[in-house]
Amino acid sequence: MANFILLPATQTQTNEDTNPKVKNFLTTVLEPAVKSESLKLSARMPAKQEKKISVKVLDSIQEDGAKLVQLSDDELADFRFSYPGFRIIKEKFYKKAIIYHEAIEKKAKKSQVNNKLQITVTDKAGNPLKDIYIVAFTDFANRLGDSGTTTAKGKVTLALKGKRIQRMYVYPEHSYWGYYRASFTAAASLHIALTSIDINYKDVLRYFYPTASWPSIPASIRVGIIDTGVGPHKDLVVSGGMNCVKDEDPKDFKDNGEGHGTHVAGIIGASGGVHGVAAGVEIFSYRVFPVGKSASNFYIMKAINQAILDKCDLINMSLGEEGEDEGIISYIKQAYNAGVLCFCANGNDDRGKVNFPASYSLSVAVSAMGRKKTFPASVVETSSIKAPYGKDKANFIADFSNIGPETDVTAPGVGIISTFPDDRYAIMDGTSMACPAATGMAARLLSAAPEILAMPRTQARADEMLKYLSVRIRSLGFKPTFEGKGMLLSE
Amino acid sequence: MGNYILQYIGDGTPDVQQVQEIIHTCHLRIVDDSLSPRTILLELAEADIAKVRPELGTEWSLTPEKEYHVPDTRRKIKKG
Repeated sequence: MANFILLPATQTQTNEDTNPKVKNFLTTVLEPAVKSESLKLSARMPAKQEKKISVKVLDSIQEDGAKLVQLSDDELADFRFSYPGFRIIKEKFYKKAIIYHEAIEKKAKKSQVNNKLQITVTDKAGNPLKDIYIVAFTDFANRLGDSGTTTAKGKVTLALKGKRIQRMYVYPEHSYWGYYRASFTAAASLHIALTSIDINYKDVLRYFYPTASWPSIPASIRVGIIDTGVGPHKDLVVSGGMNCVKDEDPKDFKDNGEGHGTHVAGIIGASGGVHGVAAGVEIFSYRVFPVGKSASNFYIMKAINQAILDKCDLINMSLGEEGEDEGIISYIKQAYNAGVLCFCANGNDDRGKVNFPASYSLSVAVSAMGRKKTFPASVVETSSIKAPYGKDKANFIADFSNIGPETDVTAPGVGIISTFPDDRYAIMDGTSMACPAATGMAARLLSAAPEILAMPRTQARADEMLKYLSVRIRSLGFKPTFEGKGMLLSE
Repeated sequence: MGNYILQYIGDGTPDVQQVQEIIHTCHLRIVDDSLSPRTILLELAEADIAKVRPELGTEWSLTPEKEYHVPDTRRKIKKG
């Protein structure tokens, strides 16, 4: 159990824009219970299922204002979907601002390099592959080892301490599956032949969502993708957007070349060589990442603001960092109040805490899951397999996925085949891939609810979207900190 | 010098005149005003923050610009 503060979506007290159910909840339903009796609230569930959420009111600020409640971490996702329109903030305690001068021990050990390992990377036909990034760990726990990128002849030499390698990862940018090998002794040279991508391969996304056989979505739904930009790619149509990076052309919202945004867009709306979850969706691209650099929160705020002005229905943010950010919070709040839902990636810090903005209660936080045998043997994805496993023991939560009570849903994010700039295809892993899988599925499901999409663009529209989606989520059998309420699935 | 986000957090409409006066008086440089009048990206010296904040009152927040990285699951060597 943990304590949470419940607030209306905007302001600190209810006003004329507040969802009536939220207003009722804050003023009437909970007020008698301030005596600290535990309430049993009905959870919004798929048909024929019933669930009660136990909520205890601990304190209240004003009759129509914030409530301090006690709620189980495991029931948080159910609560968010059952009672949308609340800001839910975990109770936080501050220490006195005393500075402790910590002795910082500098690890200045010189690595004892005594082994040179020459690696050659080719395709299966023996053609050398350049620009392939390789990392070999002799001590994985301390992240010790060496890394490098192959030359035009497909060669790279790593300087290692000893011949025993704990883990080796080979990461191509695009066109090929990666390679992973653990616990082996390397000779002076090593040859690795990578497997090219077969775009008809059934990855975990297509295991759960058979996208090739799905029709294009019937309604016009607009998804804003806040990322590195999108395209060009023959499988993608970008209907609009904006480059939000300072001193760059606002009309240049194609991919900056890194490919992340194009991969995300393909998962949502590709149609052609590969099929996204919501083919037919209108894609709007908001570029916030300059080439090789980080995105300013100001660019992200600009992007959310533009997505609202462009009348997007959903926003995908496959990005995040630790710590809250008031600036972005205010724009996510503004999006919610304009009937727009923001889906955000949990982050990839090896089961670390859920990153911001996924951790913010008005965004939908997405963790990444995978499934055994939805990728070839000896590829990088095999290293992502880690407990817990679902009801179906082939399903697992990716080892890199951040987890926590803020998680709303899980989605496929291990070994995902999607689009890469200049008509290429790439395999990528991450909550960055799970997030668009969830966004795309939300778009597909919502396309069958024109009455919700036709609602005035207010908070009530966002509330109704969440409620509609909530009864189309099925648990895969993980704990809520791993999967939230579960995975969005078609009926 | 660093970039800071000036953001209106009050109810109603921001007083654009007041903000322009503060920017002028405190010699702040506008980096990006595409979200003006509610949000403006400014450049100012860290030492000037204490001077600017009281001028803003409770209806404006001033927070540092923050950076977000392209997420990546690639394993990396720890740089010593």
